Amino acid sequence: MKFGYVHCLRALVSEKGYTLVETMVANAILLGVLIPAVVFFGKITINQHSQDLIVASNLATQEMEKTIGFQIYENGTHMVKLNNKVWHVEREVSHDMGLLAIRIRVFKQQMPKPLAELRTLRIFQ
Amino acid sequence: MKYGIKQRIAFWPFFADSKGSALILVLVIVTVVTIMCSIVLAGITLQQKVILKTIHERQALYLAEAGIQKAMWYLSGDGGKGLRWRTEDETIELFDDHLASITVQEWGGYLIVQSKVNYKKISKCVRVLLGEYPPEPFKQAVVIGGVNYPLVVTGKNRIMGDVTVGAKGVEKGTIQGRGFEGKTPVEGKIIRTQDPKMPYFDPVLFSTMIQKYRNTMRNPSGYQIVDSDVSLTKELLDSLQCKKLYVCGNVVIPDEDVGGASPSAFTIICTGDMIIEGNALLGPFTELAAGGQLFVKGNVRIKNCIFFAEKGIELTGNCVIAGQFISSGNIVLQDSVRLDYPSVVYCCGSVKDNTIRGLVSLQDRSTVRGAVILCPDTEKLSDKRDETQMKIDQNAKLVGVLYSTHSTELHGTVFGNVSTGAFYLYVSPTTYVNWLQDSMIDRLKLPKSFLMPLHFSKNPNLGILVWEEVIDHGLPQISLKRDMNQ
Repeated sequence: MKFGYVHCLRALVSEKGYTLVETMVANAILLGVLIPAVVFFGKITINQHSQDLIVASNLATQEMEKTIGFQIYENGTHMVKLNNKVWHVEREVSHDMGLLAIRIRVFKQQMPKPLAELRTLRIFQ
Repeated sequence: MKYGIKQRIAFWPFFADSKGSALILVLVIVTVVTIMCSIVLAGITLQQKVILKTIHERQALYLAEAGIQKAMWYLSGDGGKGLRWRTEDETIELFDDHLASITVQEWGGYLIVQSKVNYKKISKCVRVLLGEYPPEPFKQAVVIGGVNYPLVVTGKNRIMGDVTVGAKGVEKGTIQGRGFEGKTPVEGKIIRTQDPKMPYFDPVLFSTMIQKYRNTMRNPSGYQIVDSDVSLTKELLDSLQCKKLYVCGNVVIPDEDVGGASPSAFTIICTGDMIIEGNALLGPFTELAAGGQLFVKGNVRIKNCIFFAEKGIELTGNCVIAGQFISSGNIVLQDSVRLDYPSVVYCCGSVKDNTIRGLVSLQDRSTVRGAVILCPDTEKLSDKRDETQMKIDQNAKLVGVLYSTHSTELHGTVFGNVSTGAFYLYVSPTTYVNWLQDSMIDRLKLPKSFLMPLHFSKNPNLGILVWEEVIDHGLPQISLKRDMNQ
């Protein structure tokens, strides 16, 4: 045990350093590992599901505002292609005692469950 | 060589040592990897939570709007309620199991409707100011509702839009040798009626507000009371715990930003006169009421406030205000005063010495965008002299609706509707009843989005004047949905 400490101490007090070349090679290796790691983690941090949620939410809001703004009070579905993905935006308008119940649902490709859904009421004028 | 190995062993004792360093190394690496994975997973979870929260916030906002729409539906006369429906934090069902808490209260000639919802632990509150789209009579340029005389036009007078008048219709006339100089007296249809009537208007909202202020002046419970004249400062307002101040005396709101930075509205009631001057800037949805007169001077900038003064209101200078001015005395606008949409000027008149008095006068280059109403209580009038009048000077302008149950002296411009008992014209030494000279009434220049105060029809077509999301901290995000000034 004492032997180990002595050698460690010797290593710390040793005046032998690293050459510039050694330092540069070490840095290059470190960067070679770190850069792909950062890129990889960055990619998986903004994961696919989160991206889909953002897109679905924006499509739903856009459709809702269009429906209210232009008073498109009828059922309808349309497809949106974004980044090689197909989204189905569904508008459902039903009469609820003189009020219009508007429901917007956004589906990703053929998924049965909507990723985003917005609902509101409007007076029918 | 042997020496070299020894030296390396001496330099890297841990690597050369076989006493369990591999285990430590593995543990360190596993720990680092675990920490990194945990951070990444926590990041992903947090990100999804944030995104879902944003989606839920949007849905909550649409639900709050649905609450507003349902309240408007009730106020339109559906669902067993009507325009007189008032409530505070009443829970109504929207759809499925979603609920909204609704508050409906008067705001001058308009109504304030507030809708609060809770959706997946997110609460949203939306507040709107409601007016009504002009009913049929107000889609015309002129409605004469008090006399059966013909409407006589002379000089450079122009009327663009339909006109409802007594059986004698519209004629061209000559005053002191000067005749009608235009092409046609009315550029629209002339609708003759045997029994001229003023369009429907129930001043219940204004009466309620006036009564509220009069009651508060008699009994200021819930108000912080000051027993002397007050010069209002921001420090004084900030010190108010209930945002309600009652002053036994006069109030001066000086040349400084008093409530502009203040997030919440306040109410100030005084028994004397009130003076607002200079560059005073007040926060929105503030109520100011004076038992005496109200004077507004200078470059005052105020939005969506109510001003009540028992004995009259005088606005001068270059003030730009979007507000409602209510008085039983005279209301006079002078200089370059500009009342922006959706402003209201309402005079209910007062009885003194067996005479009913009340004057609304737009003088000099003053402009009003909204509604100007002169409507004394007709029950008081039966046996009394009438000295009420609406007056618009040559360079003054109204964009909106002019409603006067009595006579109107019009020399200026109205882009909108004029509904009056009769027109009045005085050219020395003669008084002319139902004559118009050199004025301009153009109904076509009133924007379609124009909304007027409520109770001009029994089943109103309601619209939103001002929409705001009320943040919990009390700081509203105000957006004027239909800005007539643009």
